[in-house]
Amino acid sequence: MKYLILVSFCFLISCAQITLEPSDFAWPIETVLNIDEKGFINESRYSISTNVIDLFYAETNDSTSFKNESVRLIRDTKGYYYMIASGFKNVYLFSANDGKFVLTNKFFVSEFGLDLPAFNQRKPNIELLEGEKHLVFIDSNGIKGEE
Amino acid sequence: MNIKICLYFVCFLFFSSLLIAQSDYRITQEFKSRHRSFEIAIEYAKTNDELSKIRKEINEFKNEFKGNKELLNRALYPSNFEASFSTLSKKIEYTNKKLAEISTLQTKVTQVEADYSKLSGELKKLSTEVNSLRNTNTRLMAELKAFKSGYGGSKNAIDSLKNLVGQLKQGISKRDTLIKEIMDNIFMTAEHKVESLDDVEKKGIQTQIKNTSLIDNIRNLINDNLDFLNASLFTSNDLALLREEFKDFDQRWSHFGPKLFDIYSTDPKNQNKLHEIDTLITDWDSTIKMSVWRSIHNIFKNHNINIDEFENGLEFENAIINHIDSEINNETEIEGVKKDQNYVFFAERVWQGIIKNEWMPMLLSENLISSEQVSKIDEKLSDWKDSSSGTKSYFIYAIILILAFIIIGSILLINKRQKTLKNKDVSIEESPSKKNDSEIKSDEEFIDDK
Repeated sequence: MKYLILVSFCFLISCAQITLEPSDFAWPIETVLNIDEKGFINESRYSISTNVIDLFYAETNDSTSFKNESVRLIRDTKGYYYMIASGFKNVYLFSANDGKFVLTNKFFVSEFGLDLPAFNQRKPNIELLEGEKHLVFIDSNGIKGEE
Repeated sequence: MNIKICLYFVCFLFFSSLLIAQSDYRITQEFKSRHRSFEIAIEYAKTNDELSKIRKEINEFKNEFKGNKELLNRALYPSNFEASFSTLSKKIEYTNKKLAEISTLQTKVTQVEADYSKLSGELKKLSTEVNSLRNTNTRLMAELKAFKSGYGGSKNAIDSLKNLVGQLKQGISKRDTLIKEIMDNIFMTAEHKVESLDDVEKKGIQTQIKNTSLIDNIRNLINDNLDFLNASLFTSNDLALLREEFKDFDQRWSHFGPKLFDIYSTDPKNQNKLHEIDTLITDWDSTIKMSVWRSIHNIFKNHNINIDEFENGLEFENAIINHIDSEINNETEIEGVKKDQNYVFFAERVWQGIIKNEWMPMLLSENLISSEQVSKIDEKLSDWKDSSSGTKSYFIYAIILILAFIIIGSILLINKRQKTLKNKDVSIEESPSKKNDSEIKSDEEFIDDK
């Protein structure tokens, strides 16, 4: 019995210590997702679905501003998700936790909001564009262009 | 100084390249969109030249996006850059083959169009001929009916009637052949695939059927044959021919009928006409059979043999057996010799000479009567023969006796007459000379001997 308890304990300790690295969670390109009338987006290639009403409310203070809009989503090498939409002044950084997108960081990128925002995967960063104009490089720590 | 300028220029390029950027998503979308446009252009290409032009444009497109190959390899997952272009190449190859086939088919279509035009002309001609023949046949039928009502029975009248029936038969047969030709021509192109014809093809056939009044002509054809069968009496050869014609048509109908039903599956008016034709064909068959029995009954009637009417093999057998039974049982009413004569007349002249020789092969081959039924009738006839054979022997003895009397009587009479003649000759020759006495004597002796 003692032996069994000892083996189980060792097994649990060894499981908790396993780390697979290096890992790369980066998506090759961003996805542009239309928001349905209930505020949901659905990404078919990576099988992601979430409700973005709170994101739009946080950005605009208007819970109906998501209607007829689309969200641009990309994931960096570390596995953080970057979200932005047309008219947003900020880029929102999320991590996936316990079946939810949890806001990790928020980066101010435009005083008047971006008309044509777009993300590019530029490992280890994410590039933010306005139309065809480069704006900044971002990672989970913040905006690189400002450094 | 120059080095400084170069450095500034490189810095400018570096920063400007940083400032001018393209969205990967946009590049991918543009690639996908142009790829799709090429797919559509290939699908709609109508000539090989167009296809060559598209191939050239695709090469340019490939070169244009070569710089984004890595991005596209990842973005187009599960496809990739090269696979996208090999898809386009395959499509071009397929379309190329398709165009070659279309070109071959085009030639065939031209040929078929020419055939169709020729066929339409022929159908029109046949249709006109059918109408003309129908008019002639109607006139002949009316003449036949009028003639029969005033039919006198003279040789000339019979010849005219025969001639009329012959003409009518020929006319109907010719018209039937033309209608069969029309049916063959209309369905020739769609022989094996009526089930898979599309609406346009079905419409084309419907137009031809309408232009040639095919359904009405078929209905008229059967009705005319029915009228003809009902209006005339036929020989076994005539009916065998008419039966062959019916069979030929019936076979064609069982082939084309379902196709016509299929073509008019949504047209209740024509469907009703086709159902009517189905019923008429059954009538045609039974009318031919009736005509056979009617013609046979007429043979008995023409030979003054009173026999019940019959409409099928069983009734025919019963009618003949009843007649024979009545002949056998009528011993008291008919004299012995007459009874024998009746048997000979019925059995040998009518039954054997006409019915069995002329009609029986057809009756048996068409299963209108069975060989067992014929055997039964033959057995009954031998019963009749047996019952009349006693009277026949008396009749023969009586004839022999009478003949014997006649022969003996004749000999005696001749003898007597010769004697008388001789006596006369002797008395004439005695007076002039008696020189030949000895000869006369010898002659007399000879006559006596005789």
